[in-house]
Amino acid sequence: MKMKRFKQWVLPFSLMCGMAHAVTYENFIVETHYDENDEIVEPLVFHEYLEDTGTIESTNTLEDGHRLLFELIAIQTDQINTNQSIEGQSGYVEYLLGEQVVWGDSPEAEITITSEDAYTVNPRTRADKPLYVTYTMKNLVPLTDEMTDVKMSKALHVYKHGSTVIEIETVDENLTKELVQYWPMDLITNKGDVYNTFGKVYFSMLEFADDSTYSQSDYDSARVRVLRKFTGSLTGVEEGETYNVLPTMSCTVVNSYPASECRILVFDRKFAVSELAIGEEFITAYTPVATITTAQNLGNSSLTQEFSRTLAEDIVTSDGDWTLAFVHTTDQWGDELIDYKRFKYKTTLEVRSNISTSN
Amino acid sequence: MKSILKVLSVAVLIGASNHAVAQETKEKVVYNPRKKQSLLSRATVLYDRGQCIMVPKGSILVLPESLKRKIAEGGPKGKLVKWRDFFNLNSTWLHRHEVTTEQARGDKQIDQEVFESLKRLNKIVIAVNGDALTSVSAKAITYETEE
Repeated sequence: MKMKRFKQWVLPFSLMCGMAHAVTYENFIVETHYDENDEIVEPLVFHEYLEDTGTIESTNTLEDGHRLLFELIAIQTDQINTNQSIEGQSGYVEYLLGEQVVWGDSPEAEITITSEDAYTVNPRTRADKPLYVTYTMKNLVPLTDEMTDVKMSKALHVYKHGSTVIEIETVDENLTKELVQYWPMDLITNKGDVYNTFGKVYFSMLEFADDSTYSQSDYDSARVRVLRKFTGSLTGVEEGETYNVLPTMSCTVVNSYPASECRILVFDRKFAVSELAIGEEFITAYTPVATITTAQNLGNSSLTQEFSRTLAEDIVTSDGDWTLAFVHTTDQWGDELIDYKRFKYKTTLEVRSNISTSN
Repeated sequence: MKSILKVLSVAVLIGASNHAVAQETKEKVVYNPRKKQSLLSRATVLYDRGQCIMVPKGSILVLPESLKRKIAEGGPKGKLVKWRDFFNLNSTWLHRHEVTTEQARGDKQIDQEVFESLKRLNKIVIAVNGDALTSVSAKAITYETEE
């Protein structure tokens, strides 16, 4: 529950009714604070109102369910002796010329962020993958004819990155929006490419003041961690080379995603490059020869993992074309190619000779 | 309800001294939207030499015994005038003291030394907040006493 949401109220009033010339009046705006049980709470404020039109400022604050009643009252300055006041008190005649009520219902907002990663302890995604924001705004009092000139607070659906605030959408009505898709690279300022962009992004519903500043307190906010996309290489085997002795290959991967596996897959045929990019096709009929696993909890620090493996004849079992694929595997995004090498293995020696005989 | 009772008891205590907080301010008033309350029913009337002003009930921080006659009991009398004129004419016995909204709400106390100095003025002290006259929660002037 948000307390004391409204810091200041400015209410314009006008004295619209004509008064008899012979009688003079003093005008007051009485500001009365009621709690949620219709009981008056401190303070009771009298504003002396000297002009025909103008505004008064209230510094009072409101809690949920409370309200301020502003009454413009004209009271006759000369005492009379008859019972003519509103409640029958003797003394002065007073007129209620107008009133406005300002309610203290604080908007309630809720933001949740999800991604394609099922890990929910701290929502996270990768720089090249989307995130989804669901937000709800409740108790935002809509402007009505009676409230036309009353300052209303607005809630903003904004994204905060460090000290940078990017206004995405103004929310001025009660609503629920589910799974609105955003891309980290569209939100993060001072970004590089997907291999270098990381950090935390915040979505907040903030009060928006008339002087274009943002309230320090959020209605609600949620954050998501953005991680770099992996990069890596497979070395020791040259693309397109022919080997008659199996080489030792080395793998390096940087910024593998949490709870991922990086594997080397060996295929007994030569894939086209276009085939390597297609995951479904790519992962059939392979032999995994090595795996690196990455922990579930990773911070922002860059993580480099390396390993080496000699290709033995129990893996490369015959002469022919072979493909090595270094892949990054997660539950949510499946197999993604890090690097590949295609080579030919040939152990038999071709002897080309001509034998000629002569009789 | 608990807070209302506490306020009432504090008001009675202070009322026993020479400097009283207006007790009528602490009445529990229930808002009835069907029955409008008059301005007079929510005001205390200060009177002097044929002129009067209305101030919110509860806005009198200090009411010396000797100046209780300035309160128009039993209904207003005289000509209703503007505050500024009345304050200027009656500064010998009337004093305005600026309070914050937090103090008026009772969220924050008026410094006790300040309040004691106000009592020593031997004037009626009215709470103001900017250009407005404001009631002040009794909590703002209720201080713990040392045993």
